[in-house]
Amino acid sequence: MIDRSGTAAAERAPLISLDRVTKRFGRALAVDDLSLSIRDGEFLCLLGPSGCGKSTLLRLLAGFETPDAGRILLEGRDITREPPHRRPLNIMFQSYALFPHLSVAANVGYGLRWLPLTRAERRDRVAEMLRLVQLEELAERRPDRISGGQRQRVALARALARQPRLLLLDEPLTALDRRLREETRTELKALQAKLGTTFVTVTHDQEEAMGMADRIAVMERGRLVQAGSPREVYEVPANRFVASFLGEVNLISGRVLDRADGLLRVQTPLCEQAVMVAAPQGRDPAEGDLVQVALRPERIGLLHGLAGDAPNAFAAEIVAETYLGATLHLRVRVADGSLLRVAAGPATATGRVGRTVRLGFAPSAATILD
Amino acid sequence: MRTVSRGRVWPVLALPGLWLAAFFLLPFAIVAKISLSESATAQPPYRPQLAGILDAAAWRAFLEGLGFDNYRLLVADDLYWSAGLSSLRIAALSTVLLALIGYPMALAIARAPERWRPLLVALTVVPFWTSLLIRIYAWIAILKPEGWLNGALIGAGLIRTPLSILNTEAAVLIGIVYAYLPFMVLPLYGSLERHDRALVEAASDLGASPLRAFWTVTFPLSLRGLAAGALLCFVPIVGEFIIPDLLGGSDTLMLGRTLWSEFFANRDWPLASAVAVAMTLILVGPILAHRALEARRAEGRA
Repeated sequence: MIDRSGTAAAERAPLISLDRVTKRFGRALAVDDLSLSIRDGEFLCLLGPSGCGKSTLLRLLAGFETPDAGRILLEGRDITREPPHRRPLNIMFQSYALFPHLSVAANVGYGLRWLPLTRAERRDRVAEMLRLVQLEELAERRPDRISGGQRQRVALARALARQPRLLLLDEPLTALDRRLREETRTELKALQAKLGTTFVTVTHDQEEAMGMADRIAVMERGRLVQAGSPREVYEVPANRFVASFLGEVNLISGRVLDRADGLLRVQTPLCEQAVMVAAPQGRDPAEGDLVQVALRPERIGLLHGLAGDAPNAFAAEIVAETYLGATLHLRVRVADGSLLRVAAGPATATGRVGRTVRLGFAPSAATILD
Repeated sequence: MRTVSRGRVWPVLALPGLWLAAFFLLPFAIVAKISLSESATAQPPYRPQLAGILDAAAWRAFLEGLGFDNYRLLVADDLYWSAGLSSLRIAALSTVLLALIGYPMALAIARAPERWRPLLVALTVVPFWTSLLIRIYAWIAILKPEGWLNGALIGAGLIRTPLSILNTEAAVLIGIVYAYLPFMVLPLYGSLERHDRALVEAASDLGASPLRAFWTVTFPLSLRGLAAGALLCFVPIVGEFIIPDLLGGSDTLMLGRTLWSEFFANRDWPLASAVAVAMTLILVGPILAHRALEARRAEGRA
């Protein structure tokens, strides 16, 4: 129920919420007891590997699938069984699904046919939408006579023409080539900010998700693993899956020795002395627990000089280096023989394969995972 | 569409070209020649006959003997007009009926779960395993006054006296629709099955009810299949002989029957040939219209 008594409560009320939704296809569980609230005006990205149920979730929201259990609420109203054509939301398909027998303008205007608009109003809205996506000149073309990027914009204009409360985008950038993808990503984000429409996109590409979304919901095998801002899910991943799906991560196993001042002392194979790691929020590993220390490659720094007793310092041998312009990727071997990835800055000296260097990381740079 | 240079396209077209020349153009030329002759009590039963291929005088006599009298007779005689118009009317009516029955069938097969589709398609073709003649005889058993249909209707208490369906135009229409249904369903299915399912979903997402989504997306996109099916049915139905002969009454006039009786009953080969040529010319119309439509589409797409 929406609490209309206070404006603050109304603002916090979700636009759409999934309440313990489950969807099976035969014996396969596509969406497993999933609850998620989508806030009004946010840009939410459902992120996960293929087959994690993110597209099914989108189809459940659009109304093409009906959940086997659970409810979908739109501003508190149960729309679980409402057919797609009655839902005040629109979807942009991965394949765009443009009507091949209609012109660009007729495609954009298709959804307006069923609205109580005059002919002039309809024409104006189509013109406005075409202006929004900069396709005025192509209004009379057929979809098969325009480029892939233009088709994507037609699909976007068509989905926005009915001024939906919520726009669903199924892998909106996947069909575009790499250069166009980055440009379109920025455009989509700017468009969302301009219109204030709630956007929910689905992607398997973490960079795409980080680059567009206000909030990322990471899914694995039909379940919601973690939802949070890009920074939250990247820096404080909920588990190993999230940590390794969003970017690269070094997972180092260790044993908790003790804790003091919000720091854990963890014995790891990196070095003889224990490393100091910020204690995780909400969980409190006990002494003697086996844990994983998650350490992003770019949070490991090269220390100058082999001596010195900086905290969390350890020696490692460089076994490979890859110069990528903006970063220098190193593979290093630590005391116990295991390999770590390190992303060093562009100013780092190259040509040091075989040398032993001293590395270190700040206690706040690492995360403790179970 | 890309044009292939003539030099390379020629060998590809040679085989079907020769086939058409040997089995269509040549026989058609012979029929056209006979249609310009006049009937005679002779063997073969028409004249003139060319006396010698290398003899100029024989050629002159032969050519002077040809004429358009049979066509004048066709145009002047009401029988041929009404047979022609009746053929076109029955063909048009049955094509409409075929579309009305075949479309939902094709749509149902195209929307069926993917693993069922091959079986359903196979089932529409199953009747071809039995000869058309036998299947039409079976319809006689069904439709005759003491047949199964009347028996069932009387048994159900719906009628008291048997309906006379056999030997009427209704029986002809039933037989034609039955026999030609696969020719309507298969091209329609071919076109409906290729549609991206996301298109209908997109329509419904954009506010179109299932019925509106059908009329604005599914139906317009299936028009090519419908046109192909209609052509495949309409053209042979105009010349249909077996079905009207077995199921129709004496008042069901169709070109095929007229042709048959001129040829076998009256032994008037030239007049029968003229009917055949006239029928071919009538049928060139819809075929050309279909081709023009396809060409226009191809142009819009290229």
